[in-house]
Amino acid sequence: MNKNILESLRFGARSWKLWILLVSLLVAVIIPHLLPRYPIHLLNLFLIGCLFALSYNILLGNTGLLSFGHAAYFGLGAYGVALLMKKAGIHYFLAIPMSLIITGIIAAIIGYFCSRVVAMSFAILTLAFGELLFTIASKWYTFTGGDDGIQSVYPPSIIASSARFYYFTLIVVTLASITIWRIFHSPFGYTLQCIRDNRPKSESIGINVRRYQWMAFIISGIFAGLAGSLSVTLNWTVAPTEMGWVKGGEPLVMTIVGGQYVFGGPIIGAAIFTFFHFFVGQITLYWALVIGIVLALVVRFLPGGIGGYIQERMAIKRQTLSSGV
Amino acid sequence: MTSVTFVTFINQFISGATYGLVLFMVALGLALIFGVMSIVNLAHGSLYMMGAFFGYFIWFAFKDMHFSFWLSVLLAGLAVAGAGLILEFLLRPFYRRGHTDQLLFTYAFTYIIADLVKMFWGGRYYTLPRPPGLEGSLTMAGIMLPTYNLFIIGVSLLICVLLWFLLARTKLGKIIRAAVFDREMVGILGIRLPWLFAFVFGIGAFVAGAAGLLAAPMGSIGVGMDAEIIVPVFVVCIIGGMGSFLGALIASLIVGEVYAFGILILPQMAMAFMFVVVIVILIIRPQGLFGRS
Amino acid sequence: MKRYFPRKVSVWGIAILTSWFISLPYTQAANPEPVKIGLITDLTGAAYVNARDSADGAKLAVDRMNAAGGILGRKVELLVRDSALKTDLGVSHARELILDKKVNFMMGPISSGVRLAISDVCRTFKVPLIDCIGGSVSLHEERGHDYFWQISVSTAGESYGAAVGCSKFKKIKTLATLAPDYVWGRQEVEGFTEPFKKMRPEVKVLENFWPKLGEKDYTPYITVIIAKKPDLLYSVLYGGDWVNFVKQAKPYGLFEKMLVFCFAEASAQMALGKEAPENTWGFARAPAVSIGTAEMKSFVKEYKEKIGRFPGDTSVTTYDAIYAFKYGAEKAKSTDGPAWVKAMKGASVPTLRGIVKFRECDNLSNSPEYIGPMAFDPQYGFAIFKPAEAVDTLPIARTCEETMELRKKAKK
Repeated sequence: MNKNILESLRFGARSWKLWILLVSLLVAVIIPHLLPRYPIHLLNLFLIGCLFALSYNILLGNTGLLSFGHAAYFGLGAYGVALLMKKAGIHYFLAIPMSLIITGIIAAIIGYFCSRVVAMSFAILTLAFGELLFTIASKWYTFTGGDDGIQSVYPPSIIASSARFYYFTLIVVTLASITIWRIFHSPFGYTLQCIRDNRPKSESIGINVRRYQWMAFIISGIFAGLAGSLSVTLNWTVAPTEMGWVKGGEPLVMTIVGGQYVFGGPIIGAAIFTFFHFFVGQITLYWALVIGIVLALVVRFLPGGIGGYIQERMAIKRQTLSSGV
Repeated sequence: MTSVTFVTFINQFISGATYGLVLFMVALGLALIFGVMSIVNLAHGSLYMMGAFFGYFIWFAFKDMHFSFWLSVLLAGLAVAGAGLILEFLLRPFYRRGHTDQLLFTYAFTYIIADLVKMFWGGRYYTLPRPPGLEGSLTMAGIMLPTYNLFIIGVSLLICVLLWFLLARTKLGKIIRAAVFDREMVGILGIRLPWLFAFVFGIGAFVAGAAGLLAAPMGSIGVGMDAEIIVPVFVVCIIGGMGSFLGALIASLIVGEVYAFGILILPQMAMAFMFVVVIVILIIRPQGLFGRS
Repeated sequence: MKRYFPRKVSVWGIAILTSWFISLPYTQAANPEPVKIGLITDLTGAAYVNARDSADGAKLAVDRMNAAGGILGRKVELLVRDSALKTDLGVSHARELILDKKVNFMMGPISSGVRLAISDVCRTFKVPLIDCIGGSVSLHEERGHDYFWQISVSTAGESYGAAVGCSKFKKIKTLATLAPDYVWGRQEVEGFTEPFKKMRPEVKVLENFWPKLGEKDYTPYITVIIAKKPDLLYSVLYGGDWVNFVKQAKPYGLFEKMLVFCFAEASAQMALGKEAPENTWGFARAPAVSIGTAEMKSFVKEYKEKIGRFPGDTSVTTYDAIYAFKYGAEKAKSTDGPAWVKAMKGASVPTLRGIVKFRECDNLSNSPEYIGPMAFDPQYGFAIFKPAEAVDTLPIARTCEETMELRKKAKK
């Protein structure tokens, strides 16, 4: 009976994975009633980071494209919501989809140019576009509020309380994550993996590499924009720095440290980044030094990140068990 | 009206050339390292910043000596070259690992170096006066041009000439050019590649560090210098073609002048013009002006 | 594949380090009931010098206060955070200080933009925020609220003072403005241009220049300013930006070609030292060495002895803010936010600059703006006001009715 439920949910063959998921969901649901306010704020940051990193991994882990300018779409989602709410008076729940459409359009334009190049040029070009959007956001004083950004962006009263906003974020991020999971495990996702593993070969079997990269870019950008929309109503403010190259480093670190080849990798990375950041910040100012060393160590010794490492250990365990040693 | 615009034109031209040639000095190291070792060093801007900081404090210690500024440039360059050698050693496992991993590893180092600088020297800004003899301005055809800017233009062109001489006329230069062309072959021919690579990285780091201090009197030294310089420098390398020195020179002049004249047109968005150029180049000629496809 | 560092070690190492880090904040002994004051300031970036002065002024105030018994007999603890001119950092620090550290009072950063964002957080959680720097009118006008208090001078007041000063130069026919491109800079120019045009309608404003805050290279702006040939340049660049500008502009002879009326807060003047340009007039909010009250003189003396430098303008206003917290807490006999606000409404508070009164409707103080010609003084080692004249800033402020209207419109 278990197997049938699992297969109809298409979540994969191992029931224990499902149990972990259910237990974490249960914990996630009870938690706002157990914790004081500030840790809930951190949890919200973690959830938004998860979504941001998962969106990033569509490009990195799934398609093999390293982008340094991903924060631009996060920022677009945030600014989109902020501007629509403040300047056009549109209600929050309508502003989010509209902002995502705008983000998608801009990601499509930028992605069109970026998907034409590979590897290093791609990385630098995404960085260049990211900086361009950052410059526009910080200079266009009359529209975007310049360097100060936009403030007083409050969520509607239904979700304004700490616990309720948390539930809202939890629901949105969970649904989005499930969607991204489905994308990873769809023919589209497998095609992207093909492109990641061997670009020339993919081209030779007739895959339109450029078009797939372009579409991955757009999808990835839209989810990043969703993360940004959540972020602006968590912080009640958005500023150009949320589009720049420093912010762009966040999903990169989360994904690489957590593991880009495992679905749960970015989630692990987001957890490490958010909570580590808070605790390290209590002791020292030099957070960047610590995370730089962690990133360097991971890139050097743990390619595949922590998620990849765990997966390897599990694979080895399975092997030793099955070979009867 | 015409005299006003002519003066402005010359001023912007010199200003743009100065900025562009500072970019060139940093891009030179990057191009050299990429050309010879095929390593992308995202932390090159951090080396530039280190040079400025080291240099400032060396200068400060020797403030009352004659030629303290020049001594500082030399010592700062050497200090950064040393740091570069350490970085090169750490990068050795990455020769085979592809550009993506190199980008990630050197990206981690931008964080590390930036925070180390902050740890030793704080988050504040330091200002360095122009060295004695170069403080004022020269008046040519009725236009006041700051002497120091002209000096920077001169120095970077000198470095360019020295580099050309090294590459074209010396045996070491021949080896370097050969290594750019076919690294393995050079190794087979008995040249000790690790030494060659260390030397090349060291030269690149030296020039970047020296450039950091040389550029300092025209602005200020502070954290954030690394991020500010690395994007334009990479843009320059991409426009010129990764690994091409001539490309880096021409591209840096283009970028510098586009920025300087961009300020006249749209002062707020001058940076944007630079990005427009790189986007256009990458679409028309993805390998850059002088790059190998 | 050769591995220098076994994977198991790396993973376990990270796990152990993480657990240690997590336990640290909770293994430190808790202080019995001190009064906590949070100061978020921009210690990294172009505003470093002003931020450092603000933090130093705060520390001196807290030390003096604790030596005299603290607030309501409780020790005062100062928590300082760096917002690095970044709004998101400022907001996350504000939340951390208010929600996690439970500070009773807050003081804001150098950047008005970041302060606006923090003001929102303070309003939501009912923590009084005293603006110890001075800044954008938006802070007390349309974005003002009961928990925001302006003990320094707003952009309207300050630029009005500058306009009064500039209007005295009868010979000028044209002028240009130079300001950093963010809310504060924009309002300093607006607040100057409007009253100045009323006082001297015949003077033409040639152009407004907007370099970004923290701009490194001013030469493109310098060459264009000189080309436009204004008689007067009104500049509100501050801190490292002003120092940079002066160093880059001097070789072009800018200061010989026009009269410069500039924001002359002491931190930048001290950084310039002898390199301060001639032919300049200045305006500032709290030029400590040029104000002659007895309290100020004793403050300057103690500051120089303890910290080794002369105080900057932000040192004075931050010090004043901390003593204002004490004043209100003692009047309300409580450090509770709403009680403090109630006690402080319309109050007159002693400061280093004299008695300062808060307006009841919007908590705006009647602090004056100081203007005067700048000259290098070898006794101090930097250019100071010779002399400083105090200009009353309340005449230019909006009436209470206008402010309330603006707030209603902004609420939406």
